[in-house]
Amino acid sequence: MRCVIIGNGASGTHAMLSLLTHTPQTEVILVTDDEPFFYSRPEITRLIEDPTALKHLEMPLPGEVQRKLKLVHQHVEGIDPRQGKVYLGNHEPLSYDTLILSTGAEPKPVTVIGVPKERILTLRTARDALRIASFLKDARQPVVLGGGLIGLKVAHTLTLMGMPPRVVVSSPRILSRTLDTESASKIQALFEAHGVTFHLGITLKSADWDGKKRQGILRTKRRDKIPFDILLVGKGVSPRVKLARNAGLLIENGGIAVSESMETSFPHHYATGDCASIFNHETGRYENRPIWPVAAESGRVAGEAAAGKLISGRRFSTPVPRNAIPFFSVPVVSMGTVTGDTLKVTSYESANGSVRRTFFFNEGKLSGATLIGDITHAGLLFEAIRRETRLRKLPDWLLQGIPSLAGGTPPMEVLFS
Amino acid sequence: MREIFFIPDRCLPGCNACQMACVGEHLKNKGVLSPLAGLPFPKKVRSQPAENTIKTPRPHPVRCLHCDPPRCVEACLSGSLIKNPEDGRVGNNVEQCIGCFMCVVHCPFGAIIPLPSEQISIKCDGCLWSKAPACVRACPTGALIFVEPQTYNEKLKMKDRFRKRKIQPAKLLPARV
Repeated sequence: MRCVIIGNGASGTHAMLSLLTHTPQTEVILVTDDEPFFYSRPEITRLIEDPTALKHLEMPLPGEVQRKLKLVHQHVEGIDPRQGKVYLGNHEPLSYDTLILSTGAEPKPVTVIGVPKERILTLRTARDALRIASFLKDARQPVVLGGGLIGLKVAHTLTLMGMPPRVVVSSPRILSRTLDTESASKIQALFEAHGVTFHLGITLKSADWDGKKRQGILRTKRRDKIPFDILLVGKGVSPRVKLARNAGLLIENGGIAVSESMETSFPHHYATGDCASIFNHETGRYENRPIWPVAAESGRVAGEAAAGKLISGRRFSTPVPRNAIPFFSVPVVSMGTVTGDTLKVTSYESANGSVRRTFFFNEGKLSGATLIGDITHAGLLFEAIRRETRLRKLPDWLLQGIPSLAGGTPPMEVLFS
Repeated sequence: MREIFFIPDRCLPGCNACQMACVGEHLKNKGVLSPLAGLPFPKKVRSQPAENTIKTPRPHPVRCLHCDPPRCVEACLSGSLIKNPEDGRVGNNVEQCIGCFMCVVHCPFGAIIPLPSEQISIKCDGCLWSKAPACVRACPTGALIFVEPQTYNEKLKMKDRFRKRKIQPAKLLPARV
């Protein structure tokens, strides 16, 4: 059997690993135009700081997998699911029995009237990060568009480089989807203490660009003026489905529609990771959640399904949003649903204000949590959110993050008995 | 796959030999005295006082259960957590770890400990390179044993049976492995 995997992200790598683990005799060909073959995409902001750090980002593969795997460094022009062929950039067709599409996502395009295209930089691959690093050599006033996790991660890196940027956010606060209002203001204060300036609730109108000085001024609808010489965009991603759409696969909510075994509308064609949309039985529609652990899990499921070794307990579950990220050595974790008017909120803040733990309840069930400064029991909480555990009262050790339970039962038994 | 099991009624309170051995084993010089220099000790939870055997709760180490599929490995952004395909154990290469704490969020047992000051997270790796984990080797009373889960279950059943006959139960489990 020959299996072709398109894409080298988390999902492609994990699909390849699980396929080769379950059926070592399969011929696996991985096609990508990205370089290097296996690296940590969420950590590419490190390349902006130090372009030589690429070797640290590369992910180690087991030796046996490296021997069996075939790598093709080519751009994919198109796929023909009826004949089972992939057309590569050099117009050579590559036939397959099973295809796993992990084409990932691409940054949402942003245009600001008056700013030259090459001065608006997005971040997705190692190549993008190296390009930003080369532009930043002569930059003095970088501006980051977007106050989400990507935008703040870029702002964090620039601050560590001694170049605190201005962050322009369209919503009235930062991390509006990830954190609650109080926790977000805490993170904002942390960034401001390091010299980052925030412009909140801003709608960009146009910009004046001086080509000789290589500087410009952003104009907003409220007639503010923000000086800049480089624009870094961190405004989220949209699935890359051009190949699948041209091939006639079903597209739902912007992503390739897949079943619980990650199979698309064509048999033996799987889609994994950021480019796939899975049906959520609670909301009744297809959802796409572009985060690394979800991509890795979907890749593992697709690999097992392609190998014919998928059992019911290991199928892909509806992904719960979660993210963990340290800003200036302060760990920040966000899990589950944390925004909404109907949620009941319980929070704990330490005396010196360095720790804030907020919990969200929906109809007596734990629906989400945000932890700042102290992430003790984060794993237990995520499991409780995933299982929609009903809690009458939040125990103190969970609320305050006390690691050892003097005289109590082990945490797992309290929550899930 | 053999696992570490804890027998609370054999544990000496305040002994801490298992924690010292764990820190010493994971240092480069394998020093015995270095753990005393204030390095972080492995995490413990306190177990519930069991009927008949122990009166007060005793602390015991939180250990990795080496799940299949391991969620921490799928969540790891840096590739420092790796599942060994041969024996199914999950190992942690701390030098590769970047301290993103995604694994901490994904471990349902709380077995991965974040160290934000060091920008790493650590977990029990079962001392993959040695015959038995350091904590088991260091335990003076045999409260920690390293056996197959099946063996442990069989011994527990035997223990229950003999307890009804009022025979000392601790002698039935292997003293040291």
